[in-house]
Amino acid sequence: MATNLTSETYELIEQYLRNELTEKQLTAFKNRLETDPEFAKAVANEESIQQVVAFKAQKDLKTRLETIQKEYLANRTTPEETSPKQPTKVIPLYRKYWYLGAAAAALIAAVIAFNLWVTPSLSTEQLYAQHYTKPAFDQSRGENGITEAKSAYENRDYTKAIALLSNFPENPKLQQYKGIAELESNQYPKAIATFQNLQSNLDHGGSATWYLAMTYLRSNNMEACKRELTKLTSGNIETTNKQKAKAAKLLKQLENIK
Amino acid sequence: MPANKPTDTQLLHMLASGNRSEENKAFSQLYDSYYGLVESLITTNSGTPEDVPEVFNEVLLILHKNANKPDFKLTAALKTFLYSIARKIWLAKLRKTRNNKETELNETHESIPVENDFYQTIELNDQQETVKKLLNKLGDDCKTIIHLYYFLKWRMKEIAEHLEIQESAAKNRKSRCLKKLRN
Repeated sequence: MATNLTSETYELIEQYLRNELTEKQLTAFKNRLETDPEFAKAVANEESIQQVVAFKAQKDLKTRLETIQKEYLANRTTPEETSPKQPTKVIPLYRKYWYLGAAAAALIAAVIAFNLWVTPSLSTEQLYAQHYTKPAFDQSRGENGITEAKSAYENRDYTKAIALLSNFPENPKLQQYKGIAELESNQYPKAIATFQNLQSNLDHGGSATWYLAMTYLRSNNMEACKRELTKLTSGNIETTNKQKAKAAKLLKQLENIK
Repeated sequence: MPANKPTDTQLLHMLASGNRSEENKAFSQLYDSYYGLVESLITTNSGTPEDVPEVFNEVLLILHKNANKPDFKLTAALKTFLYSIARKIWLAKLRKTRNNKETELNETHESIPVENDFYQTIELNDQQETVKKLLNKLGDDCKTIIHLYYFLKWRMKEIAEHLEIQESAAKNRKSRCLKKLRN
């Protein structure tokens, strides 16, 4: 390895690989390539490194594109466009007007009822949006499976992430990410089971309980959600003060709905 | 999903944001808006619907690469640009299967000249596999700056802005991080 090259020289090599050299510089560079074997070796090494970087980045891009492509093509072939059969009826005008009157009254009643019924659910959506954030996958070391899982998790390929993370049943941190992947892909019963398993863990019980509450909130099970939040506020399950405060706040908001 | 569709300019910005989630959103939108365009080009020119996905992904990769060039400017509508890239790719594929016989396309849209700027398919040798392992072991801040500098080829100025640090600090970080890969 040519380690006696200065940082200025490396800067030059980097510029060469980025096609940033002027004609003059390029000629001088190529000359040096031919006459200085150490230099040539360093350039080859640098090129090699650049290829590795490109390889990884392209692979990542391609994987993400494939995920997006799958989703697009799957949604594209769903037969949503089949138009409903509409029988053509000839209705005398006076009858039509009568329908309009009745429809208007019914509509008003329906809107009121709808509002009364829907508002709580709309609020839970808002609460979920307000309180839930998908946690970042915070593990950069580890065996290959973990790096792949992280990639899949970040690229929203949750089926893959869950499959890979299932290989680490003894790792509570990874199991939590599995639960999040299940939550994000709307597999609520599975997410609930995953988080419940983690509640007894000393380090992760608090956050597992929080995400369990989030899962209940998402699936509109208010009673269960409140139950889990109370575990945090009462100190039943150990957690950080910050987490406790968040739980208390959400609990209060939920009480205000009913 | 945003209520308004992103404009051509916004889409290019998202592709050049250095942010994976922004890029993914842009790719999704591009799929919705332009997949049909490429599909009609291919199916009108001896291709089948099964040929389209691979080509469309290649088109998006090239668009991504171009969008990240420091002085990239669209000289036509994004639609035209994408069509032109797809056209070039499909023409090359057709020529390959016809032993380079002169091929003419049934044009389904107007096009502009595009450069032969495709990604090369790379395979790593043993020594590079070692470098890859080293790369994997780097911290996130090293990974990011190497990605922006060595792959997306952003200028130090843009990198510094993106990372919200001084240009000199960015340069130092870059040197320090690349050094780790050279041993």
